[in-house]
Amino acid sequence: MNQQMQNKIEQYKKLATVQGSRVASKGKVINNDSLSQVIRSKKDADDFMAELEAVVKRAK
Amino acid sequence: MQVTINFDQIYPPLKLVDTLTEMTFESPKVDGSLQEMLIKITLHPDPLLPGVFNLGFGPPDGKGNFKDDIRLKYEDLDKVFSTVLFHGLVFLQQNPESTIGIDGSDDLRARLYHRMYKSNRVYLADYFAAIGVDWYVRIFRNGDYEKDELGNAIAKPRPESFDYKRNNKDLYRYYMFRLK
Repeated sequence: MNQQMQNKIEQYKKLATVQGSRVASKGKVINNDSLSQVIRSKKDADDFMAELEAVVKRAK
Repeated sequence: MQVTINFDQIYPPLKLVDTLTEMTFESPKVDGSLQEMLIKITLHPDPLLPGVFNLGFGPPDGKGNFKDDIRLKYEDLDKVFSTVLFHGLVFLQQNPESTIGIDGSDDLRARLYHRMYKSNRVYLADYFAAIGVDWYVRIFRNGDYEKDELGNAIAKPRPESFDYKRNNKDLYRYYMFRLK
């Protein structure tokens, strides 16, 4: 990432800190999405997260 | 529909929550009017998936959420998506161990994200690791497959590094990205 983009990101973060509201609006909580429908157990979730970490590690 | 991402061309925030979980901006529509847009990043509803967040955006519904079933004619779709992804990028910089997920259950939306990943491969590779998730069913050696008690196939999610050679019609079920 170039320095100009990193500066832009830092400015944005600063804006969120200085001017940002501390309260997110309340909206209905979404109880599930398509991913939660195929995660049936803690083992499914652990397997998925382990595979995800491996994919991310390889991509870096 | 082609989307070109450029983080130098984004809309300024109108409202920004300090945790970066929420941001609003105004986007011109083709009819010349301005449309307020709400980006929300929420913790994935499944408590078994720590550090996974859902990202979504659309016109505010007045109840703290956004309408994601409305097809708007944006004057500059590239700038809208660049704004949303830039916000996601800053969120991930603040939360570097987190992953952002986008539900591909809606075909139109999934097609748009799929093409966006593919057509911006080089640009996005500077910032994100792109991940696609398929569902798969385990087939036993005897040819039978894993089923639940009702006899329905049990689908399980399998993430992979986004396959850029995949056909545009061969959509993933779920799209994710992580800071690179």
